[in-house]
Amino acid sequence: MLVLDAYCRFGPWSKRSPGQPYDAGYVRREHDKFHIVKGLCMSSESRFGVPELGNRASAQLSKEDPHFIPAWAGLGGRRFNAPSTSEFLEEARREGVGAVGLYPKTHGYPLREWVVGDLLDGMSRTRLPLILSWEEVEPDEIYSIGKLWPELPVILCDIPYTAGRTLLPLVEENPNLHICFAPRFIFTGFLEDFCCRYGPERLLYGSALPEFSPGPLLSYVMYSRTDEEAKELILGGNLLRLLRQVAWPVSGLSDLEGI
Amino acid sequence: MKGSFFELGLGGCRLEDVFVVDCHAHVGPRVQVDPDASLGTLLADMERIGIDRTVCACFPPTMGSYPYEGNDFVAEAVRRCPDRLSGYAYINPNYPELNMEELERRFGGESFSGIKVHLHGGRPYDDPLYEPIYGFAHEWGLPVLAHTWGPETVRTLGRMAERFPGARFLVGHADVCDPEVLAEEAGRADNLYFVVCSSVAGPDAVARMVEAVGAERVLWGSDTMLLSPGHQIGKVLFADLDDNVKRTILGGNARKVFRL
Repeated sequence: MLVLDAYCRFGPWSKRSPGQPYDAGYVRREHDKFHIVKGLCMSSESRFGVPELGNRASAQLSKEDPHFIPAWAGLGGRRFNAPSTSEFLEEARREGVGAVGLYPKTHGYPLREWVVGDLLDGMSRTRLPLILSWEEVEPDEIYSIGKLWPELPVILCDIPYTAGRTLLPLVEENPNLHICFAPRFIFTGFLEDFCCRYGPERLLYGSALPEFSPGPLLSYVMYSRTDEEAKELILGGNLLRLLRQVAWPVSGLSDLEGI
Repeated sequence: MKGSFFELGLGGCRLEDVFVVDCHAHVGPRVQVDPDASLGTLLADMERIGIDRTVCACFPPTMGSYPYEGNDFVAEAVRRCPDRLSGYAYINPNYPELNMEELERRFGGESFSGIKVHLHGGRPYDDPLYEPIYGFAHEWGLPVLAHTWGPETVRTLGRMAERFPGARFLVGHADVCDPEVLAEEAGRADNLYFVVCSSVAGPDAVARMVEAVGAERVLWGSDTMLLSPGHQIGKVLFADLDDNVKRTILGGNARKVFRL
């Protein structure tokens, strides 16, 4: 079964637990241990620090080891001496970026059309998946993005297991909203009920490495009472489909051409 | 048993030839989230994974029309599946006028297997209102599963275990606590056990627990029907531990604690 990790990071971050490994080599070793073939991987610097620095590091990592598919963080708003949206997307194309995350609370801007509209226009046009963290956005913002950019694939991560009553209306209203259940949207019967009601095509496996282990999230899928086809889609098929829909060749995918 | 536990987990293979006890589970309705909490789902998950017995409580603070209606859900589930399910009687210290009668009913008339306590309104586990509950467990030699979250609750429970040696205290969600604290409390009271069960513990949490308190003091729980047992069992199956140690954690220790 092809397993692709939709959610992993590398590099140091400020809230790391003492002793916790964080380098890309550790992530790669854990992936190998659990037979995870590829990882859509963002630098912790992109996520929590200065996106430009982290984006450069993840592009470099992917060049050094095509196991890693680069995920970048974008920035909303206007900044002096910063690349324009079109320049940012052109650079993403050159580097074969597979997805871009927006973290408005950490990076200090509102996730509103008048701030991120041009970026999301461009991402929608190029079908470049948008990664959002539940910890960084309001449900209303997710709802609005789905309505304003219905063609834009959105990957929602970091959903607490208590969010179901808000999440399900979002799923119903936004057909291009995809749920990465890492690290803890793991409540009993969720995979089974979701597949039954909406199908498995919008569920994505992620490991949340290096903070979490890939194993329990893997056994969450493998021990679910869903059929084999659903498991294949959740563990890798759905992410592969999203990455192949991007308007440019995504870095690290060439050796999966036969799949 | 064919293959290591690691390989079995990776393949999602049913666990055969190993006694597996989920010692932290729930049945019945609950607030805030909507897991499929039917008895049929619980049994289907047990069958899929290979869990031999589940010890379940109601979801606090489900109360219904009187404070202990949740225990009725548990009693009914256990009555229907006595060979697969055991019950914790959930006891709320804020109802002291009802608690002795409730305990007598669940352990005298019905065959519950342990007591479940939770931090209600932030009431710490050394509050005098818990003492009759612990006293009952001490007299009857019962396991007491306590929801804990972090070092203070674990330390408090450790002190209570020391005071009530006839009871066996189970530290719920122990894998989120600093292993050094677990080790200190394990040294304080040998009737204190530590249950693997949380949504947040880091990659090596189970191995660190075992290193801190010893394999014979660690039990597995899932927190189903809230958290998926398929996720929670992965923490043990994939832990960097010998398979014999995993076997002990998955059910061997529970056999002793619950006298199964």
